[in-house]
This record gives sequence, structure tokens and C-alpha cells, in this order.
Amino acid sequence: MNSRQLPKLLLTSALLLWSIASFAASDFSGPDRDAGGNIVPTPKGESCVAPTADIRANHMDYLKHKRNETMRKGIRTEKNSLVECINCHVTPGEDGKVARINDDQHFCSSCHRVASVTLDCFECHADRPVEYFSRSPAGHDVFALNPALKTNTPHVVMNRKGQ
Amino acid sequence: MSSKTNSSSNKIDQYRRRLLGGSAAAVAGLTLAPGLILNTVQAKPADQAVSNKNRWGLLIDTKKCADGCTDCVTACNTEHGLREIHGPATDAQWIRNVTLKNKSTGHTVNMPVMCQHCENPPCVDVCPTGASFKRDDGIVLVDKHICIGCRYCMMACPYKARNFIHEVLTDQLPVAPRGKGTVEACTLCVHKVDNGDGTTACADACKHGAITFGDLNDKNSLISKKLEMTGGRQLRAELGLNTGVRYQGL
Ligand code: SF4
Repeated sequence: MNSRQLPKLLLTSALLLWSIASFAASDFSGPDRDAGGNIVPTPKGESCVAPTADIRANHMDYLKHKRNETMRKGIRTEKNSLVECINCHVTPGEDGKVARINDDQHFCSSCHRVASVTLDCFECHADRPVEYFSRSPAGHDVFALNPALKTNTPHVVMNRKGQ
Repeated sequence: MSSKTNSSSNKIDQYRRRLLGGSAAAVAGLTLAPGLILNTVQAKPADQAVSNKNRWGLLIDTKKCADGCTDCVTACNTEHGLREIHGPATDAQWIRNVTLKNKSTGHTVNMPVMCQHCENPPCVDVCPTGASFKRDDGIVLVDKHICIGCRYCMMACPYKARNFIHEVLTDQLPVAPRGKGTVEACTLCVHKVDNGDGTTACADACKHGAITFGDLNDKNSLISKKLEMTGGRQLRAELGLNTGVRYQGL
């Protein structure tokens, strides 16, 4: 390497580091903001079941392990249960409404969109706590009677949204 | 750290409450008829795996099943978020109301037919992926995460109990994840069983008392007592599947 290449290399690596750092800062600065910098509703609990870095790196494995334990063996502890993740993380925003999976502010999709990872869980699983389902005054579920729910809403693949 | 300790002691409290609630319920017995004592099912601790100590089942008294009544079907649909999409030909039906008519005598029998939760389930035998499986406590389920929607199990089931989901679904309930391209059937309200509810949505809803839920392995359970005293038959017993759902009055 000659002396003229060295500053160039240094500059490139500095730029690279800066861009990684700023990406991390803007997109993963905390659980309370989505990719666009919007505030995501704050989780209900005081702390997650594991440190944030651990959860970010390993939540899919934890969920998969837990799903097999629950489904095959009937072990229904709350830790790492998808339903409990949703119960804690999908909370109403300032307007009192909870974000749905195709909304930018939904806890799961806000990060998965940035990471370009397709999220299949919610094609089957509920994307919000049960108390945010419509119910009749008698306590019976009436979305059976809601014609709007009969139509098949076109499925939106999250990381293609907005293209 | 303190918050962590807090939340974990809260959890312990929760479990303790559940445990206490469960055992209190278990102590309470209800005399239904001379010789028939209803022992409430005790909840297993949430962190304990199910075991073959239990064998969950249903007993259906067809003589009590009323003509034209669909309460059990409605309750099942409500419990699991099943709703009308394109009509009965293709919609999922976890319970079907079947009417049998003896052509020579004209005698008719009404009965709900759901997954029979076989001890030797043909759907499990044929499944190429291992998605169709039986829990240790006898409940037959579909692991929709690995179901490829081949529908072999639907062909294999002698009771036509399984359904294929053709459409994209929305608004599924937390207790019953369901989705396009997978097969599903009666889960024996597995979420309620694991919660120690000691009943299913259908048994709960039947005001004619035609459906009894319980543990076939527990000699003192109401279902076992009823079976002992008044008998019960399997549908297509000749297949040797040893079903968990039994019928009276056929
Ligand atoms: S449809 Fe699913 S559960 Fe049924 S046999 Fe095929 S893979 Fe197994």
C-alpha cells in the first residue's frame, strides 16, 4: 500500500463506520420508535423477559422453542409466549387504537420492515391483545355478523409495503 | 434489577393464585344424581407437560340432542373465531350436526360429530410431515407451522372431521391461530383443557346436557361414571381407532 492510498482507505472506513453508527442510531435507537422515527406505543411491562440485545438477536429461536413446547406438550407458561409478547408490546397509541400488523407502528412490523424480513406469524396468529377484538354487548363475538370482515382483505406482505 | 425481582415475584403470586384456585375447585364436588358426583378437573401447573395419565374425551347423549338445535356449533364457532365465508360447502366446520335416519323404521337420531380424538389416529399415520399429531393426553391436533396442506389427513379421516382453509383469514383469535393452506379440526378446546376449565365450549353451551367432557382415564370422572353406568359406543368401532368421543342412544 502506498502513502496515497492510506488516507483514502481511512476515509472510506470512517464513512462506513459513520453510516453503520447512524443507521443503528436512527433505526434501532430503542424499542419506542419505528423505522420512520415515529413513536411506537410503549410496552406495558417494566422490562422484557430478556435483555433487549438478546431478544433482538434470538427472539425467533425463543418463539420457535416455546411454540413447540406449548403446542406439543401443553406447556403454557407466559415467558416467550407470542400471545404475551403481543399483550405487552401492542398497546394503544395516543388515539386509543392499537396498530394492526400492516400498520407502520405495529411493534413487530416496524422493525421487520426495516430489516426486510417477511413476518408470517400473523397470517394465523392474532396481531393484538384479545381485548381489542370487537365484541357485542352480550360478550359474544360478533365479527361473524360484520360483513366487512367477510371480504378477503388483500394480504400485504410487510416488507413490500410502499413499493 | 428490582423491577425484574418484582415481576418474577408477581409471577409466582399468579401461579400460586392459580394453584390455589385450582385446588379449591378440585375439592368442590357437585352431586348431580345418586352415584354421580362431578369432580371438577384440576388444572395442571402451566409449566408441566401433559401426560398420558389423562385421556380427554367427550360423551354425547344423542337422546338429549334436540332436533334443530345448533348451540354447540355456534359456541364452537364463537370460541375459535370461525365465521361464514363462502357457505357450508367450503367453510370450516369443527362440529357438524348430523341426522341419521333408519330407513326401515323412520327413527331419526341427531348428533354433533367432531374430531373423535382417536387413540390410533389415521390422520397421524398418513401425514407426511408430522404436522398431524396426538398429544400425550389424547388430543389430536395439527401443527400448522409444518402442515403443507396436502390434505392426506382429510382423506384418511373416517369421520370427515378435518377442514382445509382455502381463504386468507383475518381477525383470528389469540386462542385459535388458523390460516390459509393448512388443515384444522376440533382441538377439544385444548386451550381450555390446559387452563383447567374442565369443559369445552360445546359441552358448556349445550343446555340439553347432551355433551359431557372429561377424563376417560379417571375412574371417578363424570364421563367415566356415565360410561360405566349407561355405556357408550364409538362411531365405526370396527376400525379399532379407540376414539375419545363416545355416543349413547345410537
Ligand atoms: S394436510 Fe397437513 S396435517 Fe394433513 S396430512 Fe398434509 S401436512 Fe399433515
